[in-house]
Amino acid sequence: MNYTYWILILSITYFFIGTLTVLFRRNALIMLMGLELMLNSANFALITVGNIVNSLEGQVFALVILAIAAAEVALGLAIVINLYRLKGTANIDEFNNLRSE
Amino acid sequence: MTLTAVIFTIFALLGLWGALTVLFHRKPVYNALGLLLNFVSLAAMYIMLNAPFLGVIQLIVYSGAIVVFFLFVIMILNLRDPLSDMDLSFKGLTAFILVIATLSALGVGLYLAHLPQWQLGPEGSPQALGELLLKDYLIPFELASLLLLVAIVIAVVLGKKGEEQ
Repeated sequence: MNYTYWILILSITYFFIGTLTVLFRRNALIMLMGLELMLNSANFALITVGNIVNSLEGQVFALVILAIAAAEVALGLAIVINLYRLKGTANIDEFNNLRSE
Repeated sequence: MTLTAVIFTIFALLGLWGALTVLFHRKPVYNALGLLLNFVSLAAMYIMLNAPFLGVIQLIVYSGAIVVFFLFVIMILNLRDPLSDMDLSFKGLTAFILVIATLSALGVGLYLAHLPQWQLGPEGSPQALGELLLKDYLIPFELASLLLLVAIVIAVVLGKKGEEQ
């Protein structure tokens, strides 16, 4: 039984659930949570692969991705708050100002 | 199965539970708590995968800062009622099928590929990671700090702009 396979499958499963959250939930806040799940699963896969190729570089990549995720969630939540102030809802189907009539 | 594998499986299932809570629960606070469960179990798995520094950073940054940030925004927006925002339209279902196809192709590809035998790599202690970050990966490291600075400035500007209206 090869553990590598199962850990990578676990990482794909987390990514899958994150993708489904972004696709099926219409609330911008919950969609951001789905994005976080996806970034985390990528980190998980990087650390796993770093282990099997016997190098620390996977962990360095994961660290940089972690910094990017922190920046992304700060900006995303600021945008969600502004959207909420604009229309009184965070449901992204309401934000169709750019659609031509 | 060794004891380590059993503990790893328990944490994997806990993380799965947290992720499914994010996907299916209707109350935003429970979604945030599911996210917290996923992050904490991922941190435990990082520590078992020989990445103790990253596990602790994961606990501090994700479970400490980001989940609190989400809860803070839920509190500001006063999202008290259960959401009913599951979109199961034709568009969403098509995307669902495409995602399933892509990811199962990835899984089958992994199964067919001859993955190397499982082994634990070098331990990612703070010293080893710091030496690598400040020698070989100095420029990405500095760029990440620049990115964080820009993100802070943009977050302040966005907050100010909302205030003026």
